[in-house]
Amino acid sequence: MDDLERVVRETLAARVAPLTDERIAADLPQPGPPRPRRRHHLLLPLAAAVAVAAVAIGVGGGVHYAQNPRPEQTHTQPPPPPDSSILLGFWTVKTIVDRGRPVAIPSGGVPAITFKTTSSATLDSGCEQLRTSVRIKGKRLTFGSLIFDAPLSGPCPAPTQVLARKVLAIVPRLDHWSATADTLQLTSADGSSMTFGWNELQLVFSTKPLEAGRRDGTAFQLMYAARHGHVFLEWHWAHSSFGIPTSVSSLTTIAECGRANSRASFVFGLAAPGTTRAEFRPINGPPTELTMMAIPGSPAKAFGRFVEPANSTGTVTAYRVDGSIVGSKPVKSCN
Amino acid sequence: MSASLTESDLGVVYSRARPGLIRLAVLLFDDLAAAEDVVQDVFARVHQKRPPVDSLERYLTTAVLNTARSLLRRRRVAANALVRLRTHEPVSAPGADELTPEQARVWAAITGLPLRQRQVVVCRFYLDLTERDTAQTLGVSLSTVKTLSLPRHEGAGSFPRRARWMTSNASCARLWPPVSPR
Repeated sequence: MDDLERVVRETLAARVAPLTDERIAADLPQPGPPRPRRRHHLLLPLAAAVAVAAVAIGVGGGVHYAQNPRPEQTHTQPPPPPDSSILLGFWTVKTIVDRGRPVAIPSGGVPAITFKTTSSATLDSGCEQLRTSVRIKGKRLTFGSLIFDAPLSGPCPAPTQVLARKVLAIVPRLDHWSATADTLQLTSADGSSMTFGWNELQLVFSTKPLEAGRRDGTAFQLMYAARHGHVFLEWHWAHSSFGIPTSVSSLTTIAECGRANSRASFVFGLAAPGTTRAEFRPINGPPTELTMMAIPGSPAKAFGRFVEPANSTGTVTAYRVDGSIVGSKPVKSCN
Repeated sequence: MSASLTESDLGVVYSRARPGLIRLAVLLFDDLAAAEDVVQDVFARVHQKRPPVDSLERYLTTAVLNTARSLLRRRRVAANALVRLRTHEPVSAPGADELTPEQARVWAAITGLPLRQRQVVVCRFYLDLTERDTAQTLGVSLSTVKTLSLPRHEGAGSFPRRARWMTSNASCARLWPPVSPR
């Protein structure tokens, strides 16, 4: 490097040396009353273009971004809306507060909520299962009408019935949500809230659905929710029904049967104690032996298998080692 | 296939790269507010276009250089009207008064260079790009960069050529008065 180059280099470096990161950051608007933006008249067309682009691409909240187009200034911009996809999955209740008063949660049926998508959910009140629509806008979350879906299997003891009535009264009032990976909190302005914990789901079985076209999905998983004593079917579609590549994870509480695709259904269930084998007997065909599956870390066992056709109707029967029947349950058109 | 920039990546890139890009833009037109606007404009486009991550640095540099260029073109068109109206008083970016007298002279000469040449000087001696990289970044031929760069110092024999280059440019002539072989 000769003198000329050295001088030019030193000059360029010296010219911007005072413009440290801190000084540039300090030049950003600070919290408090807005100060006039330093901007040349000549830059107005450019500013307008930036503003239009910012609004068009939906960064930082439209008009606000356009007025102050700096995405990282969280102190002057409202925080970005929370990602509601964190809601997807199965949550069980940890605490319930009704207008500021804690509600006791008896052992046994634990209320739970399953967000199949960010616009639909299944609520398990402890005694029955209901479905509802969900509307999420930023931190606001409201439920639609609760539609009775099915009673949960088994008896519903009195304490759980009391709790279930409370839950059904509180849920329609809830209107805000916040969530971390482990905890979901739904709150209302009247001091009511429900805190849910992410239910530890254990993977029982994982496979790829039988091939039947482009809606086959990439993964098909049977999950065990230990706290709730249920098995769930979860599948990941590779494509949405309208052909846009996506990855949607949905969780279903449909017991014993889930439609895998247009070709097959997956019949499954949680085996009662003493069950050594289970079979599915369709109404118009030979019986199919269901695969018994151990659940890691649990004495419980699950059974399941793909059956064809997709809308199979029949009966699942569980047997003891001596061939006697533990129980049997009809499975209707898996859809 | 190279990965595309995600929303969170963009936030990280924005906070890390923005100061450096503003400094680069200041060297091109010595105006902090304009530099901030140019950089913001570039990031607005990056958000829309999501260039591949592996070429992001070059993309940002090129985008700032090109945006600055079009901005300066627009400014030149409007300058006459503003001179007549006396409504626009350019505000130099802070720090100009912290230069030594020699650096102030050099800076004055650099700001007097034609835009393309100024870009080449900044790329070569601020960004430390090679001539080839400079050509690629600016989207011009290598020979253009060579023509616009300071002639190489290749011993005493190169001195007349360097002197000619300097004196052929009015700004440089003012900056580096008649040179004599050492």
